[in-house]
Amino acid sequence: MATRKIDEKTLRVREIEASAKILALKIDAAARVISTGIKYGCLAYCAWLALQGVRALSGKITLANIALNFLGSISTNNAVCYTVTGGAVGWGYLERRLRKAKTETFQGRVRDLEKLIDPKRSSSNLTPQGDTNPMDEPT
Amino acid sequence: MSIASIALQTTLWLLIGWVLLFCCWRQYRIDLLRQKLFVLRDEVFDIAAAGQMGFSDPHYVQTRQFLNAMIRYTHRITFTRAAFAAFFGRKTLLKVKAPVDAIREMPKGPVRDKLLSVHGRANIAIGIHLFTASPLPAMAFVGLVLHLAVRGMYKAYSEKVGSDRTVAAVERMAILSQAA
Repeated sequence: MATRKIDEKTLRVREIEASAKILALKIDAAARVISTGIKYGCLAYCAWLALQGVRALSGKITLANIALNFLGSISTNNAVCYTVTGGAVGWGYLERRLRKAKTETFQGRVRDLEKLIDPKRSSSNLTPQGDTNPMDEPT
Repeated sequence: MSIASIALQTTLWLLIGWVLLFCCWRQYRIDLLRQKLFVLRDEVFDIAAAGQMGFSDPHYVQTRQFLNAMIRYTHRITFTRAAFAAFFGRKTLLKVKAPVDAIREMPKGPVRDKLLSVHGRANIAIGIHLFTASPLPAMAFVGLVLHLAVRGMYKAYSEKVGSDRTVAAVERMAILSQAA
């Protein structure tokens, strides 16, 4: 009788877990569609804006004129702005590369030392650089 | 500056903004949350290494598994998913037992407090991530707070004004002048 009760309880728990898994998959799929839509929708909007500008100017001005105008309009202030922005982005990129290299160097050592204490040590399954595992499909 | 160069510059800045927002900023927030969770995982490891609980203790194993899962799927912790889960998953998802529920049932002591603290800090880090990883919910959140603050101020002001004798006297004066 007691075994039957436990079985029913286990069955109920499994049922709840199964329906939660199905719901999680549905939510994941819907959220992925929305996130991708927003991401590429913004990019499409940028492209549409650029296209509108090109259409409005077509026949009136050449691409060379636009480029010359653009370069000619770069004042000293603007040039400082572009240089600082470009420099900051480059610096951020290099710092990030350095951090990943350091992570890769140290993670093995930490893992090995922890395994000496806890042989059953579980892992997060990230790449050695600390990035999302390609198997876990980045969104 | 001609219209053509303004259009070109605007498009260029929008594209730079898009790259910064959707590639750099989001990735940075993911790495930041992972780093916070790694620190918490190390903390749990240190508790076990200090002999306060065993490495095979189910509470340790479950907490570590929870943190590992969060670290692994940080890129999937998004505002959209959280909103969907809150709307549609209340009846189903919240019925699944979480590791923190088992920790709450532990006898009171320093280990229980430490594990609860780890779970609490992990939840706070995840909550902050939800609102900061994408600028849209962050802006919506600031807007909501401002809206509630202004609404509260307006409500408090109207209640105060409603009970203010000076305002009531001025109102009566206006009514009398209108009637005259």
